[in-house]
Amino acid sequence: MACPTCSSDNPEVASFCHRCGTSLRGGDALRTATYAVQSAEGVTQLALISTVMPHTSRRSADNYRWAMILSGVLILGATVLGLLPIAIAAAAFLVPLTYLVYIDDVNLWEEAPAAVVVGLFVATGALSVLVSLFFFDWVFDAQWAQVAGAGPARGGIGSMSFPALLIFAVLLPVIAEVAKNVFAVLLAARPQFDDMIDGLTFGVAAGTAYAAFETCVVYAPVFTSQTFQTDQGISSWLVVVLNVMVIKSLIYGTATGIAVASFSGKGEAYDGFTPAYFANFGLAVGANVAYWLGVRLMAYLPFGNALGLIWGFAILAALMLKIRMMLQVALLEAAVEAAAKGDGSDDKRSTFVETFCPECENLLLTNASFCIVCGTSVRSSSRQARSAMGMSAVPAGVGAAPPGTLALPPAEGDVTTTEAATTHEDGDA
Amino acid sequence: MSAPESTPDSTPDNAASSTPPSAPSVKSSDEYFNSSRLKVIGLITAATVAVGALGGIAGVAFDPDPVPKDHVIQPGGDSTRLAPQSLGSPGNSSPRGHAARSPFTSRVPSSDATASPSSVGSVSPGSGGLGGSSTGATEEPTPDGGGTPCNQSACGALIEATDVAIYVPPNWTVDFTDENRVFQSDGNGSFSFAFSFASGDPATAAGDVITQNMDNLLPPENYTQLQTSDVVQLEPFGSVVSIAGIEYEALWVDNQGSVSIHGQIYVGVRQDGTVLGILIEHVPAEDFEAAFNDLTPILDESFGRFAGLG
Repeated sequence: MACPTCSSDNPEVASFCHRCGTSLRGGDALRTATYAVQSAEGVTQLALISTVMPHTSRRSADNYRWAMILSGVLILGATVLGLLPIAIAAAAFLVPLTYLVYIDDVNLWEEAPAAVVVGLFVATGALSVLVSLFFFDWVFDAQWAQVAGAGPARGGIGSMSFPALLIFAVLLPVIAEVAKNVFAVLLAARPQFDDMIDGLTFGVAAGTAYAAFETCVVYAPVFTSQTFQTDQGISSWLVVVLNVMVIKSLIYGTATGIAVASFSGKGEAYDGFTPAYFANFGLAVGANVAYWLGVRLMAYLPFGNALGLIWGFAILAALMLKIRMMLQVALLEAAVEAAAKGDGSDDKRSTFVETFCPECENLLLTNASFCIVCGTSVRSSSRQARSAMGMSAVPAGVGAAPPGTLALPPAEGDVTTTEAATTHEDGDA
Repeated sequence: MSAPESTPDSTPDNAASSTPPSAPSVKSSDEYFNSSRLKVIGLITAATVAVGALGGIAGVAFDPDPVPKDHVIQPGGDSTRLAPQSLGSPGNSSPRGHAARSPFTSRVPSSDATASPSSVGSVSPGSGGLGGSSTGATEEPTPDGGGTPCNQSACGALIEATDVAIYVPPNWTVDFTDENRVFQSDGNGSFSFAFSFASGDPATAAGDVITQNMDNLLPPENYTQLQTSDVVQLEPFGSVVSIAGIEYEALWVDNQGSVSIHGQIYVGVRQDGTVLGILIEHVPAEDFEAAFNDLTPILDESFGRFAGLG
């Protein structure tokens, strides 16, 4: 069967083109219903794990989901008990720690774990501490105090300090976004990390690390408070902890992820500082500014903290949708372009040997960018899976089989691809 | 098309017999990850607990010395700091009092504040147009930082509803005012919020006004871990028939951060039933003592005029 988009030959049973991912089963040629990163989900589905951890599979995503739920419950439990230093510290680092485990789990750092950990978490964290101290303690402490001094009972929004609003809701997010991008971009420029999904991952990691260290600075009074355990203001702290743990961390992460992903670009090698990068950097800044402006202005309304939390969730949802649509378009377009250029034998982002789809465990064709059964992009596979596909272990273009066939590496025995496929099908049965 | 449940070890025998060693074996998706489900969940949970424990250690290790809550003074002229023993011991003493809610309760529009604030913007010292002279017992505030020297007779903001004049020290800025309220700050972490209304009842107890309005003045949503002294009944003077004060410390919090905050609230009731309340506050709490001398003129001058001594 010839793909209507890229004309690649596909087996008659294929639901998706193995080269460009086009749906071959009528009605959804644009694949709006099937997310290329995790085919069980729709593109516009607000699924957090597959959005920020694109290298997970449907099954491994569950691990992170349950880990975060369990940890989140423990953190909220500490909050309810009034153990604020414990709750704030754990909430600040929940997402970055989860991300660190994720990066190890999918072996994203490959041969450079130190560079990834130091570059993303330590260096970005150090920048975060410096920027936060500069704004909240060293230079603009009086303006920050002004934010605390005014309030609903003291004139409401009329008592708001406009300079303080500009400093903490506009200037700070701009500077912070630069700091979040620095080390993530440096990593994304390395040849082994030049895929858009890698860029996204590094951006999210840097953003969440920045958020964690910033939280430690801005909530430092919690650690220096005279009371270790409190029974006052628990409902307020629950909102704050939820914000720190989920909303702030992920807004920072997803926004930076979008910017760094566009630095990587959709095709071969990284795109660099293109207009698309600056546009998405602006989007990241805009999202952060919108978030903090909303938080600051809603603080003057009744239940201002809770409203700020809801506002943050709306911003986060928009950023998640942006990431999913961005990756969907990039993966499909890059595959079409690669298919148009050749048979895929030189494409380092398609399979080199026959293997099995990490998502649905059905057979992946050689030179495939997508699973013909579930439509998942092989670019969203873990590093181990990609290694099994021969994507990094075998030089591109060596011994590649004709597209659409099952090419086995040179072997002692000889068996036709049909036999191999039949064998596998039998095994399934 | 469904995903097989097989693993490399479970490859069917017939396949193994007919497939060369180099043929791909069915891999479970779990094999493409370094960690098992249990390991992932265990690692993340353990790491979260460990970081939380570090936060707990920091919370214990960095406890500062408590800021004493013995700064309540006798406003109206001599700024006498009351002896500590005249206060209740610092702690989580709850506001007390059972008087009927004062009109101020409904007049501090915490929830309506954004509706139509009549902000006058920034009022520089000297432009307030306050009439009358100051109490002689208070030292002349000294302008600092090269600001315009302040003539006390011309530094202030008027609460229109009661014609009560609130003293604005040199280099302070009035950030907000309406018919019942004046909010001012010095740009260095010190704030003052004044309110006034006519209760119509000179028997209104100043201490009750404080206790009835604590949640308005220090919204629990933001002022957490609030510790207050007991309400201190002060000596009436001039036309003030009841005056009381309270000192507090709290951890102010919102979604962007938190600060420690220390302050005092004074409320006086005049013989015509007019109520004046003044809150002074400083961020961070540990610097309150240093800022206190800059805050007391607001109390002395304003209450002095309120009592007819100015």
